[in-house]
Order: sequence, then C-alpha cells, then structure tokens
Amino acid sequence: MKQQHLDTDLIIDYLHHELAADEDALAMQHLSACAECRALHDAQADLSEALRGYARQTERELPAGVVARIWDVVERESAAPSFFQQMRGFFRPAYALPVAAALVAAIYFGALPHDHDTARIDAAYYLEDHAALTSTVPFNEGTVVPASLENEETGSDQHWVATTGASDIAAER
Amino acid sequence: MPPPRKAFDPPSPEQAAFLERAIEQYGKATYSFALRLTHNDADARDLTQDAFIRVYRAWKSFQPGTSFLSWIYRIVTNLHRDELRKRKGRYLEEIPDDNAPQAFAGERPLAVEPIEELVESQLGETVSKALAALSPDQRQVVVLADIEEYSYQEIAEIVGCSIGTVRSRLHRARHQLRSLIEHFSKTT
Repeated sequence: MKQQHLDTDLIIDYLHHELAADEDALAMQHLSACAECRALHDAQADLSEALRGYARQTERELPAGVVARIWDVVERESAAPSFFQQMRGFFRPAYALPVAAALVAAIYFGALPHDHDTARIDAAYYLEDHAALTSTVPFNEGTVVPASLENEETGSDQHWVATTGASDIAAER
Repeated sequence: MPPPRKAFDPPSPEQAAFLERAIEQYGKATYSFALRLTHNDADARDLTQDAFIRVYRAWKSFQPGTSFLSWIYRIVTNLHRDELRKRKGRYLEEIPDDNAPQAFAGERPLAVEPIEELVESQLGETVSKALAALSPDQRQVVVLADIEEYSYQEIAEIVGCSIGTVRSRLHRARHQLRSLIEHFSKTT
C-alpha cells in the first residue's frame, strides 16, 4: 500500500519532536523516501532556523536602568516606616479633613456661647394648663364642680341642647 | 498563587539575594523574551521590571528543582496578557487580506519558496515584521516553541492553556508566518 504524503501540521509536530514514537518513526521513514514531503519539511525547518537567527540578533542585555528601577521598588517596599512616617499618615487629607470638620462642629455647637435665644416653652405652662383642665372636668374625683353646672348630668354641649329643647316645648304649650 | 507580600514586612537577606541571583542569571533572557513578545523596548523594560518584582514578592513560592526560566516566563506572559487586556486592542494589529494564511492552513502549499535565500540582515527584519503581525497569542507560542524550544506541554503550562490549543496556535502561526515572510521579503 502506498503511504500518503505527510500533512504540513504533522511535519511541524515532527520538527518539534511532538509525535508519538510510532508516528515519528513512520514520518522519518516517509521523509527519507519522498522528495516532495522532504521539501515541505526543509521549508518548515528553514522557518525554525530563521526564527532562531532572528532571536540571536535580538538578544539584549538587561539595561542597567531597569535593574536600578527594580531595586528602587524593592527598597521602597521593604523599608520599615519611621515613627515620623507613621504619624505623617494621620495628617493626610483623607484623615485630617474629616477630623478637622468634626472638631469645628463640636466647638461651634458645644462650647461657644449662643447670642440668639432659641424658642422655648416653659414646663410650668403645661402644668398650669393641666391643672386648669382637670379642675373643670365634672365628676372627677376631688374636683370642685362649678355652680353653673351643679344640676347638669352631662357635658356642656348636652346641657345646651337640653335647655334649648325645654324652652321649645314650653313655647309650644 | 500566594497573596502579594504585605508592604513593610521585614526584608529578608535571602530574599534580596534570591532576586540578585535571578537578575544576574536570567535578566538577559527575560528581557529578550519580553522584547520578542512586545516588539517595543519601553514595554519590554516595564514588563521585565514588573516580572522581577513579582519574583521578589513571591520568592517563597518558587520550588527548587523546577525551571526558574519557565516560572518567570509564565509571570511575563501573564503580565503581558493583563497589559494587553488593559489597552484592549492596541496591539491587535490587522493583517492585510492578501496575507491571510487561513486559505491554505493545514493543506499543502503549491510552492515552497526557500527562506534561506534572504540575506541574514534582511531576514532578521522580515522575520521581526512577520512576528509583529501575528496575534499576541500566536506570537507567544511561536517564541516559546521555536526560539525558547519548549515542549508543547511546557508551553501549555506557561501560557495557561491546553496542549491542543498550543498545537493549533503553533500550526496556524507558522502557516501565517511563512505567508507574511514571503510578503515582506517581496516588498522590501
């Protein structure tokens, strides 16, 4: 049976030694016998060599400036902060501004004397008002019933209705 | 990945010595790798700096006996990916239609033009342009497979994807590269 030509992808894997042992042996055998596939193989091998040649040309030493920058960062990171540096952290605007605002507010509302009077209602007003109300509520224990309400059994509104009703009946008679 | 080192932890002499040794032995390789990924000196410098600072912070997570280079390449690759995401599209250069390799991807090209006919200096410039025209993902895989000579398994670990993805990215990238090299060698 005539062996098929090798696929380009298979040649690429062959060049990178990525074929299984049996496939690798078959590919090698075919390449030794087939000029067409060998040309393909050589073209791929040339590409690999071109890439390696390019790599040799572009090999660069690490610039001294990069090394210096690496050590700068490392030293900055590993340096323990002094007491002054730690304290300085508290004076950053992120901390200092809210603290200052809170202090100003506390001084203004808490410590400074106020020139203007705020509206106040004396507690005695409520006590007097309460006493006045309880003294006029009828039949309340311990209260003095006013003379005008002595004969009435209900509240003032009912008294007015009853009186009006009595005069109407008298008029009809 | 371990949490980043807290600021103001007491510095350890071993940690500084570890970083010093890492820069001395792998600084050149890391910077060159970053240059090939970014194609930009300023970005490569930033990437290299950030990678070594990560190495310094996470030095305890390095396992002796494993490849330091694979470790730092993984860091560089991740940082590069993060940076690309931040910039979103700045490096995603459009490839001209006439260079689209997808038309013959996986198939046998009709003719093979030998690359070795190009003069070496011209070849370097052409390969550089062709690499720059690849997508960042494809460029990573080509650089790791063909320049750094890592296995597909190792590339998958460095890049953080499956071996199948590495394989397909590499195949596609190489088809594209051949097409781009031919294009640029004709135009220069």
